[in-house]
Amino acid sequence: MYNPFEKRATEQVINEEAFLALISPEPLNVYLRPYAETGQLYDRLAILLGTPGSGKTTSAKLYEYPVLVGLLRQRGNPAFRSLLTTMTDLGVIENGRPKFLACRLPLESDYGEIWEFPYPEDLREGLFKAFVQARAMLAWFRHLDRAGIGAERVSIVASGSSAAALESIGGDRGPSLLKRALEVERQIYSAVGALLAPKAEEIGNAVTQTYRPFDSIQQFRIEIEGDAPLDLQPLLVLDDAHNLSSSQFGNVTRWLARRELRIARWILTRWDVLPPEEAIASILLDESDSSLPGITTARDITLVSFQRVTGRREHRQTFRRMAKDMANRYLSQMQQFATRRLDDLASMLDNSPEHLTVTRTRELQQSVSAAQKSLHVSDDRRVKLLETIKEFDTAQRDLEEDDRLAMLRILMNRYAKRVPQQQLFGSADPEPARPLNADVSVYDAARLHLLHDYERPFYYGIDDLCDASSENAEQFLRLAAILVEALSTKLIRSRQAHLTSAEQDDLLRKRADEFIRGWNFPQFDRVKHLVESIAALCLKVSLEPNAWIGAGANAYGILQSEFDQVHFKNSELARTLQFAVAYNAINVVPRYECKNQLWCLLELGGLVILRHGLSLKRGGFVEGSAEELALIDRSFTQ
Amino acid sequence: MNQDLALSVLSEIMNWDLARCRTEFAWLQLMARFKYDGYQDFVAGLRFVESLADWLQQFKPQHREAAYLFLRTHVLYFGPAEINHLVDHFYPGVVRPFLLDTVASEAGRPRYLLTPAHPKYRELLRQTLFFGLSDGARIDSFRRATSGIISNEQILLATEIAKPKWDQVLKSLQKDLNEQARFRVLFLIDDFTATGTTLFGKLERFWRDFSSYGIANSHMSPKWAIHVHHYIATSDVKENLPIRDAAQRTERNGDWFSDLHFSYSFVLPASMKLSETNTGAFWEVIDQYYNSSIETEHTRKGGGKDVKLGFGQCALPLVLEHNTPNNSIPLLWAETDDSNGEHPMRPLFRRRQRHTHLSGI
Amino acid sequence: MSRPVLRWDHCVVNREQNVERFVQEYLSQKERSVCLIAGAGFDPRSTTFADLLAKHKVRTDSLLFREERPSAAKKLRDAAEENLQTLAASLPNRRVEALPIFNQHNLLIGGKKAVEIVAQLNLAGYSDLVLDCSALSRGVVFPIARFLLESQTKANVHLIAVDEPGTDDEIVPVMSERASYIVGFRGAARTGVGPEVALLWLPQLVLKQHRAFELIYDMIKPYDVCPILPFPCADPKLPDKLLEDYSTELQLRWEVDARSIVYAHESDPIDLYRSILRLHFARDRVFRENRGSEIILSPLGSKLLSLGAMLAAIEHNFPVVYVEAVEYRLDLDRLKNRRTSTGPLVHLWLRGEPYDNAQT
Repeated sequence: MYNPFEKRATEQVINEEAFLALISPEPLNVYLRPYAETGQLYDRLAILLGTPGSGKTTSAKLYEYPVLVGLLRQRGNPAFRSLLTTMTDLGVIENGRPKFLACRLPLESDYGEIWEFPYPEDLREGLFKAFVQARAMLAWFRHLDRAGIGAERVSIVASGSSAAALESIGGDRGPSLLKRALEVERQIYSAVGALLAPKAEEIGNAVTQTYRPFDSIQQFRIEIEGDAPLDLQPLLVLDDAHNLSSSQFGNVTRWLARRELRIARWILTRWDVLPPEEAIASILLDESDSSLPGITTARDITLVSFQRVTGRREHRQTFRRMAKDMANRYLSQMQQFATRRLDDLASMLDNSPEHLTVTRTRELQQSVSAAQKSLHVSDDRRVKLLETIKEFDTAQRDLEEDDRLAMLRILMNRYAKRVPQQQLFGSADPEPARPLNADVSVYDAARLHLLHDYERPFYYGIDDLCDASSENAEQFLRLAAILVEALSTKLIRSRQAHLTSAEQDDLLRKRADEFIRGWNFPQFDRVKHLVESIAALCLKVSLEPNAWIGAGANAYGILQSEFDQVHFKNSELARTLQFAVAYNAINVVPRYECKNQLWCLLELGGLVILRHGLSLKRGGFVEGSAEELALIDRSFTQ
Repeated sequence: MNQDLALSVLSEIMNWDLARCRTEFAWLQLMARFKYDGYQDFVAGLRFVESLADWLQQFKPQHREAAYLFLRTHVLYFGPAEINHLVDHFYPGVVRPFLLDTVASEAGRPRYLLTPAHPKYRELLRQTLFFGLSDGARIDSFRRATSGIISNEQILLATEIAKPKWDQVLKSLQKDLNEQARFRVLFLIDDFTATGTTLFGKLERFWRDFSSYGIANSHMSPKWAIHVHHYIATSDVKENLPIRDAAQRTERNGDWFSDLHFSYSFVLPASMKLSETNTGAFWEVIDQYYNSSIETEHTRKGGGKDVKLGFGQCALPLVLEHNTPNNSIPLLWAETDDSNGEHPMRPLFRRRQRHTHLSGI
Repeated sequence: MSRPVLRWDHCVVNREQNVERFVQEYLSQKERSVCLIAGAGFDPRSTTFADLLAKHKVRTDSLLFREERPSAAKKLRDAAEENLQTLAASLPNRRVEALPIFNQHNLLIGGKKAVEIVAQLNLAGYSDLVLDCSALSRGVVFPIARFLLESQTKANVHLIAVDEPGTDDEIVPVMSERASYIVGFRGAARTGVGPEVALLWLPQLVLKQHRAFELIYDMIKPYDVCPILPFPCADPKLPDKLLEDYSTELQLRWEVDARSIVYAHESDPIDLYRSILRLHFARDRVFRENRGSEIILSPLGSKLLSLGAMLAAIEHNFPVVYVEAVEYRLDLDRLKNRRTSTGPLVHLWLRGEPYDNAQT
């Protein structure tokens, strides 16, 4: 059963057309366009941040030359129109021609190993940079070759480089440039791969002479038969930069931040605990490198976050759009669905709640009546409360008895809290200190209570699926996969391709549980312990009878000022958090204003939320402290 | 029938809910594709999943789950890839070490310093013959696996060897080595043994021809050995064969192979044998769904009052890709009608009977 | 038809009592001097071979590595300490070296460091070089083995392992965050221009190591995948269990062809070695003209079996990609209960006398 939802990004098909068919232009529109439009994405170093699966690599891949050519070939195909438009808006395509020649270098251990050679620092640095540049050159030529353009048709436009500089990189014509790059790469590669590192003197001349194509190259020029030559701006993408040590990362960043470089260059890295501005700034400020004065983040480096922390509500909306688009593209690749013209995942996921049975509703009724008695709420008051609920119950809402009763119970508890105790006794029906309204947070809280008290399905509908993805494309696909598989199973059984809310709730929670149990990364069990403890605290608060927190808590908040010190005061906790963030178990939301204070929220990831039955709505958090959290982390035993 | 339809039917027969369907469909698709669809007896349109649906329907609804679980947890299926691997491993893993042991004791060189490059090894190898006792021995695959190492003249089918053939291979040996050369080792190969009954039948036939032609004197070296190898065997039979061989020798007053060795590529652990303790609810199913028409003279030779547990009461859950052995429980392989009033058995992996009694055609 | 020659097809392999016989009759000869490289770790098998050497009074100098990982549990470190004491009794002439597997930046350095230390030994001064793999991880075993085999001395080179798949199963690794080549096992450089080499990945499947295979796949992005399953093996249902455990990978993610499964004898590393090379020669014929084919090995799981993959990799320069463990999880008490006896010793004689004097 072919299920592209299950495939991970790296496992998707290799050829360009197939790749393009699955790509939604939304992430590019959302994350990259604002910077592309101002030119900041191409004229200086750009650092793209996001957790694994957030879409950075896929976005970078779209810039690759063979992919662009493939896209242009599909110009007439309506399925690709939106992608084409986006790529044009991003300045990647102009007048039916590509404008970039991109290469993506995953920063695997090779690069880190060069840093570990037993050589003096400047030799190591020189080797590292030469290696990156040689590999970039080879990758550029490889992409051109793949699109049918041989090295003989390629030359470079060099920006005011001396003849000597040009000679050291092989001149300005393709074949000699390629040959030189290969030479350099092979020499360094064999040193990296050797069982014993060669002695410094043994590293060949080809390498120790300075090899700096980035300093010279402005553009690649391609001869096109019967047409004007094609000028392409080179784009270097260094992926997985978090694999580098922090000193190496600082080194690379400073190197590529230099404004004299004419190539476009991006560094892709995943989130770390510190908010990005801080992380970068701290690394830069660390080094007292007087040769590069005055590098300031804002001016010289563009920071693009693939999981935004500001404008979060709009961000959530845009993620939903993107996810739906992606899901439908994937569906169109599945024969079972395509032949039946089932091309909209949202429509196959029931969006209406399943209500309690008559018996259980009666139980609920009894429980509410009992609560009324013990809270000393008068019947009149009960009626008034029910009226506010009725006002809330518009045609869209479609509340049923169970919803109303659960909401009533909450409102009654709130009422009791807002009235001085002694006034409750006796026949008077005192007014609450603040007016009580049935609003959407009461409704959401009611649903959560119904989930935990009566196992009423809570997670269903396409929006919940999107929201449970922690705005991570890969997580979305993996969660969607189980729903799609269930739909597929139904089709096999000649049933309707449709999942009830109960079925969705069950499948999603199962899948989340499966994933968490399958976690295998450094500190994974410590992370599990931490998030489970936070989840337990959140659940306790969320299930308070008066639901004072509203829709529910799904985050742990500590004062921003305390959070800023975590790295120094609670290093063990910092380490646990680092991995928690890297693997989407926690999402850090800094400088959150609440009750006139600045908090740093540690939001639980979607999988954890699903597993523990917490609200997907944002904003509810348990107030805590760094000390308490450190204590929780320390209480972990293997 | 396309597989989706068969899965749908199956889910109805088994009354699975959505969650169960998801997991079982995934498993069935996996195993059909990687293993079971390759069963020799299946044809397009009626492969594993269809066969499974058919098989399960013979059971009353309350027994189907036990039957399905039996399939999931107990059935052992060896396909062509596995068997071929055993064939490939036979020469380097069994023949060579045995020959090297012999060379070590004769060449006075420690075993650990000996490799097949030693000339005495090459000589001994040339003086070895390999006989397939049936198709299951996969003689062709063995030939391919050892081409360039073992000459074609050394690999034969046991049922086809008559006196002229013996003479021919001896002549070929003497041409390759020297005029006095004789054979020293005979390997008899077969695929599977569970009780040894069939094997001893074949050995007796082989001995009969062998001794009637006087091969031992004319073609064999004085200290020659015979080596019987099976690719797959049960642990019971591994223990019993040497005992039976010794008994045979005694009974026949030495009129038998004097130096007989047994070896196996893969011995199934004793725990594989089905019993009341390890089959749970399925034990009762084995007992209940049976038709005695599958009993024959041949099966009665294996002992027991019926063959509910397979020939020789072996109680195996084993399926071999080219045919299911009758030592496996008949519920897996038997096909009968109900003309005798008993349950009409449907097979999951149907067996081609080797000893059929003709029932009118 | 000419058969390709396999360097280790005729590898001398000794098992159980034959290993003891070999130690007793050969290694203990007074003109022999042995250099033993082994691990002093928590693995209960680490003392088995050293005991044998001591028993037969073999003249031995030993280099013992203590592998160090960032998050080692105290219990395991204590067990390692205990084993070291036992080893000390058997090996009077020993040198113990701490071997950090990761550096402070989480870069993998264990293999390289180990080779640097071994390179300092005077290997020419010994008649026999013995690498005991029992308590060393493969990121360290493989490079050392390669170094010994490529060294210019005339010494015999031996590999020792203990065949206990049950114990291998009990030692559960916690994965580091990325896959890497084993030091010295990168294969040929593949970054040139031209048609892409057809990469064939041979993952050796082992239960519940999905994350490791995910990381490796991400790094290699193979063209084709041929998983390796153990057969024959002690648990006849193991191959099926593996198929089921990796169902999603096999059917949906890696899209493995049903006929692409490779089988290897669970306790015969040379069988795996042959199976890999058989595949290699078959593919090579097909792809050689056009784009070249390359096999990439990922020998996770049974250490004994991984040695077969190692030999194939050394002989034909195949890359080996794996994921190093940042720590190990092991219930020592349960292991103690489960181990009714020490598994059989296995000895592979990789280079030297049996192959030099082939004709006498």
